Amino acid sequence: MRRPSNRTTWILIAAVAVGVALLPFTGMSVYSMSVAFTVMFYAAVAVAWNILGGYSGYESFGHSAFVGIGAYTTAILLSEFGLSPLLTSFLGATLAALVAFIVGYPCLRLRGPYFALVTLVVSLAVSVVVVNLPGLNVASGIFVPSPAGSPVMTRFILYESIAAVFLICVVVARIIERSQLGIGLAAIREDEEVAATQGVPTTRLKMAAFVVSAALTGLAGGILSWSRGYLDPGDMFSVDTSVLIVLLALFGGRRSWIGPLIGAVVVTLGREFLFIVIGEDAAQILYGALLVVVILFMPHGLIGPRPRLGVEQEVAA
Amino acid sequence: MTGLVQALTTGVLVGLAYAVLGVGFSLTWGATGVINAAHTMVAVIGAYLGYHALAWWGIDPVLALVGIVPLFFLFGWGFFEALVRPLKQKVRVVGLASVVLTLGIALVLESFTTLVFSANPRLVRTEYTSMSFVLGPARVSGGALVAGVISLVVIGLLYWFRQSTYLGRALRALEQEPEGAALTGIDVRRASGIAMGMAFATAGAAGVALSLIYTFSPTTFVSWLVFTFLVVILGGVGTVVGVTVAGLIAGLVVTVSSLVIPFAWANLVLFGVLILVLLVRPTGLARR
Repeated sequence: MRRPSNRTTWILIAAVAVGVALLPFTGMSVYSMSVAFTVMFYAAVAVAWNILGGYSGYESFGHSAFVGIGAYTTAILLSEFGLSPLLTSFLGATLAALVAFIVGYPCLRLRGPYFALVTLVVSLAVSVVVVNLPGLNVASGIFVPSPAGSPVMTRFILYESIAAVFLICVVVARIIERSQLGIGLAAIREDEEVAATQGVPTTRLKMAAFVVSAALTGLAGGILSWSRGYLDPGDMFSVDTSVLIVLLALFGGRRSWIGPLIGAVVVTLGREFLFIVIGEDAAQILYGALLVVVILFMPHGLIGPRPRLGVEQEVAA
Repeated sequence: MTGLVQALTTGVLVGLAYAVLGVGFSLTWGATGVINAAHTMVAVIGAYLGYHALAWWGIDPVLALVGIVPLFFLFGWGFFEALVRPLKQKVRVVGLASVVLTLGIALVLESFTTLVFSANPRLVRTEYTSMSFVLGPARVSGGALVAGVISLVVIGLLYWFRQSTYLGRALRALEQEPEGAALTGIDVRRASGIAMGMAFATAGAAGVALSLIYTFSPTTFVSWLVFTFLVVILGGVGTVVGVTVAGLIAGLVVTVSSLVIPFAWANLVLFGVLILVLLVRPTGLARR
């Protein structure tokens, strides 16, 4: 299969970016801007997750920890000191990166399901720390002032902010994909031992991918809390968010940044639609069933690679 | 002193309850490679069936196990045939794919449970759950004692099964080397199905045991799942003894550390222990 050339892809990304940024000027309603916000938030975190989970195959089930860190950083600094999340979300990203750096070393020694489960446990540990840290008063909930007075302006600012974060995630993911880091991560995904013997600095690359992925997720989380009037403890750190992020990437396909993006758009819009049409409980059942169908019938996602001969088809019980 | 003994006693009983969830989870992980995130959702459904056996027909939840255990065994076997086998034929390494698959199933089951039984938290109340027994300087509720006995019986039976029966040994062979096991004439498909059935059956029993100690609701499966993961990762996959020891450690760490620090932080100590263990032994405490 011929890949689109480098230049074509960048032109495409730029065109989509301009289109997305200008979309609100066509007179989008407050509701559609808020739906677009959700879609772009999930697209951003799914693309960010994929930098580790897709490229290296280390699938984290604890990314809500980084969403939460970003969210609480901006929420606290905004409600206490009136600092704009446009600035403080970068601090949130830094904090998320720092936490990833600290927990990365023990976690990234583990493979496959062990890594998945431990990241889940770590995310719970992070949430326990943040919620119970004295002086932060997270447990009693935080009221977050909205960006502007009028709902239209508020939604517009949020829309453009998350669009910027979304664009950053896509650009970073795309750069990493074709960089030496990306190639190294792919080598790790295919066979970590072989990669190590070929001189790929596996630990360093995995750490780099984890830290970048966490930072971008934190950045998106920082903007997410701005869109909520009130932060309920536990809401930001919920396991559901972590699982949803994995699902979006799985659904779309994990080899490239475009997979998680498409997955996020399709699933988020679908969920929004189902919530309205058939109600929350039934939508949840369909959503669970979707996970089952995706994993059984298209384990490589919507735009995943075809299984290569012999590699993916070993016999099982 | 009394506080410490009390904490130790509670820790052991709570730990046994975690362990009994963990042994089934570890059994299927070892034998089939499936990480069953729906395992604790099955336990929650077991708890509901026990609760409603009492509420609707006045049958004691422990007695209801006579029905729940074989029923869940069949569910487990059916689950393997209907969903796990197709997955195994599609994916090379079933581990992560199975997490996603079973999370999907858990979410579906959670919503169904909410629709059928409502989201209200339940607690089983029988004559013995309200009784309180004095064990030396410690006090134990009757519910916790009965739960402890159920857990011990389940763990003991499973251990005996794995050590002393043909099928149990076949499952252990399967854990060590699936292809080798198949070559020695073990019916891998049947053995895997039975392993899944037994895991579901133990989950049902664990659910009933836990329902005698804790309140539960459909969402409880997440917190039970976290403890199950923790205990199994700590103890190691495919080892009844390792998982039981890990369960006891987990129970004791939480209850003893909450003597000196606020309860919310006690779980953090447990997570810390897990990370320390994994740093030293990336495959858990058990020798493999």
